[in-house]
Amino acid sequence: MCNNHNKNYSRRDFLNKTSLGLGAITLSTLLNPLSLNASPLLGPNGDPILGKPHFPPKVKRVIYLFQSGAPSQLDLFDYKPLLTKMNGQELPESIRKGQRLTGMTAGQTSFPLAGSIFNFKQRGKSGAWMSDLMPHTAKIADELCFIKSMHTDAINHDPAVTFIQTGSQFPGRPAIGSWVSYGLGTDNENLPNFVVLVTKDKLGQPLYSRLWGNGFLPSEHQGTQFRASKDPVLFLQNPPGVAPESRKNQLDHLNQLQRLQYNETTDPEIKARISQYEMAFRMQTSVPEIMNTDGEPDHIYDMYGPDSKIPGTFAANCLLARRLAEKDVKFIQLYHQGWDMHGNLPKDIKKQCRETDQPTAALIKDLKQRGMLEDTLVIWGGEFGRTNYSQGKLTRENYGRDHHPKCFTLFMAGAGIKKGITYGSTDEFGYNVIENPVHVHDFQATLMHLMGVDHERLIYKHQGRRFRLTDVSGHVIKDILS
Amino acid sequence: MEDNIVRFLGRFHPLIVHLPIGFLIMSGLLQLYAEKAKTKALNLNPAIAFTLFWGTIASIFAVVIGWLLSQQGGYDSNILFWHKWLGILVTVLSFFGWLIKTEKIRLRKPAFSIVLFLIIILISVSGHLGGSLTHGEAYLMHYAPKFVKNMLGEETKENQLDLKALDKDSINFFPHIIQPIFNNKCISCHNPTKKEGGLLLTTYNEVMSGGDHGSIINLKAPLESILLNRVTLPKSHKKFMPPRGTALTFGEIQIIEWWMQHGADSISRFSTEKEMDKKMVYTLLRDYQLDYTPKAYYESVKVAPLSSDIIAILKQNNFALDFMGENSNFISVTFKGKSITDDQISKLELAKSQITWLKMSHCNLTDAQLKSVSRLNNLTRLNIHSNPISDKNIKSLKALKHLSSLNLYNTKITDLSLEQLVNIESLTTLYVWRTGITAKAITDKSSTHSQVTIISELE
Repeated sequence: MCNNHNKNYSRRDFLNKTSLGLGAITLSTLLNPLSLNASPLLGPNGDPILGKPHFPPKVKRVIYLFQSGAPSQLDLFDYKPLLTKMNGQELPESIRKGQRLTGMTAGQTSFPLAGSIFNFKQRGKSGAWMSDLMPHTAKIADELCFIKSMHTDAINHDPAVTFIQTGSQFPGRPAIGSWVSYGLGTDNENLPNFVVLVTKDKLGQPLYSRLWGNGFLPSEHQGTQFRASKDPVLFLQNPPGVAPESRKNQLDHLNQLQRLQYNETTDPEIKARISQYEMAFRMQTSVPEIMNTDGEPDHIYDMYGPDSKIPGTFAANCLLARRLAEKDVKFIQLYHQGWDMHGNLPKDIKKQCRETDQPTAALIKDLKQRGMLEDTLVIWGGEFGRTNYSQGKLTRENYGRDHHPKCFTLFMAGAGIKKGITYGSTDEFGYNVIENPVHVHDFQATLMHLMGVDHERLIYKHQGRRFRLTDVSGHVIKDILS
Repeated sequence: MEDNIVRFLGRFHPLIVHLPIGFLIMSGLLQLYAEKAKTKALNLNPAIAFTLFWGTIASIFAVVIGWLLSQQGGYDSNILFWHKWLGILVTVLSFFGWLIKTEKIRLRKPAFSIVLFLIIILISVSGHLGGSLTHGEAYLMHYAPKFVKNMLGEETKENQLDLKALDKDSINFFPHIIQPIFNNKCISCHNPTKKEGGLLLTTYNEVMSGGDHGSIINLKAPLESILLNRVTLPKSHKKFMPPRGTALTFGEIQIIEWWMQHGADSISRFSTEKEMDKKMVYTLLRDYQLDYTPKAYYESVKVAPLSSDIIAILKQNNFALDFMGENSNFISVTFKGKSITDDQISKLELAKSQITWLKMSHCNLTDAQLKSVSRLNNLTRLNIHSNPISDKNIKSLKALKHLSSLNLYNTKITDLSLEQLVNIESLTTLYVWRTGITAKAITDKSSTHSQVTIISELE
């Protein structure tokens, strides 16, 4: 949080600019006269770093329905009849090719292929394959763009979630939402730019707030978690007995003090602090407005399903996501845990789908009928895939699947991408990608492109290195852009 | 049959011809060494005589089968004349040289050196002419660096044209795409110097006039044309084109096929095509980095930049602005307030050609105010949902010639408006959920106006 001390003039900057700087300016202007006006790496606080987006911003806001724990692509989307045919037979080494496994199955003496016990059908006019687990989403298959050839570098949850959310397996980098906020600024001054909603009371792999952290970016770009409780945002409401007027008074005075301090030290983090206090004050009215869904008509609740009236459920969060999107919040990140199915997959996945299927489909439909899919992108997916062989004992009606980084499926719907398409494919065993692979960085590059940002040009210099979301790789998947 | 044997033997000329070249250059090298070394102990004269003798024999062979090859025709007669007679001259001179070296004729000392020098020069010239006959005159210098070409006074050819530097609206497919394919892969044999099969491919008229077997173009069935037939045969087939060098790529064949399908003319442009074939768009993007993917109106048109004063005025009036990319002056505008006044809305007209997306929802936008919206003539997306708008002034929106998406959900419009709206030609998406528009009207209009997708309550 507090890593922006005296960013404006560090000793290193001073020496750099007074000695090397002048020479470098002369040389670089000789080489390229235009670069004299190039924008500096560090943006002024609060303002978006990009005065203009690089490309037309087809997507104005993102709702990312993150399925934490990694849903089994083989039981939901990636139809592999061969696995059913070869059910129980060994995974051929010619397919695995020595691929590393997690400690959970590396010791297994046998890797029996496990065909999905669920029925697959082609859906809609587009003929996308989906199992019966998601009947509601199946009905809107023609709105969706499936990427079946996602692959990642990480094999365990925390590094993999960190990777897909921040572009690095190591903690400490800014989340996608923070980069978006930093690059493009805000569309609503009364709400945070980057809001996080986590399904309440779910068990599973833990989530940490650093997954929506700002990393080295100024701290106003961090994600703000809205909770399903009396205090949606912690410590936002006035303490009992404090009237709004006196709070306002107090903040005004605090503001004056902070400005004095800023004039003294020019620490940009003070500005970040001021803007956050002001934002918090405005949020005292705007947040309850968003969180209070009483005004939603019954048919909307019916659409999102029975859970939608229970605060903190995935369904209620999907409804909130739509309300936040209507208020132009730029990046809305949902987390739903519980997809990590090493055993008992057939039973557990039904429960997970029951919780997520209807709200997901409802959200997409609701956005569509309001015309919001024109400039909103919805993403559904986890951090990696699951193995085609069974972890533990394979029986007729039960199996488990281990982590599989070599392929997984995610889907998107909305602005800027083609609808009713399936991009990329995996081999007959559902193990390796054989066509149009999409790396996590490619996915992130595409997401940034849709928002109007060239992922190679949104950079931040920190500790002597220039950082970007996609690190040193990433290609925009042009084939899926509409 | 006999003809075939002549052809068969004739084609050994390029192979055999390197023997005399090697032998005769070897004799030159030996002579040079003998003179430099000045070693009396080492008498190289017999060796020089030996190479000259075999050089002569090999030259005679080369000349004979070269003469057979020339009978097949298709070569530039001028170059062929010089190549043939210089080759014969070399043969005669090398025999003459052998006579001197073996002292069958006695001449003064420098005579031999002069003869040998002449042999080397003439064999080089003749060899180069032979190369030009086989590969075409441009072959040798095709990939030469610019400064070499400049030294030789060669003009920079049109096929080095930088496509990316051109405006993509002005790219013609024959001169800019297809002729360069011929230049790279065909004209080494089909040029005025070496008219293989009587076919020339250096200009459009030549391509059209065809070769010895008639027209090479087939407009009705492009793949059956001689041109595409010959380049798509199996590579091992004796009629496969090009016989040497790189074959035409899949993309190039596709482009030629598409060009024939579209009349094979010399002036058509990609940009004049109403709807480009998706495969062609992909091929052009992949092989030529030419982007013909369908573009939104605001991406294909340029407008003047907005002054900072106008931007400031719009912001003061509670409008938020977003640019449509760094190279675009188009803007997307959102009204942030709860209620919009006539004064505020009139400010939009300051940026009437720049505004392409406009969102004013939940702000008591009235029918009267709709009229000023209809003056924003570059609007492509208009989102005015949740406003008290009725049928009254909807027809004024017909003035928006580029409008493709219109969001009127949660307004008071009825079927009367729908009647007007579906007639906006550019409109592709219309949102009418929670309006007075009936399901029946939507079904009817969807079938009569299939270009518009009308979106209402979703199941």
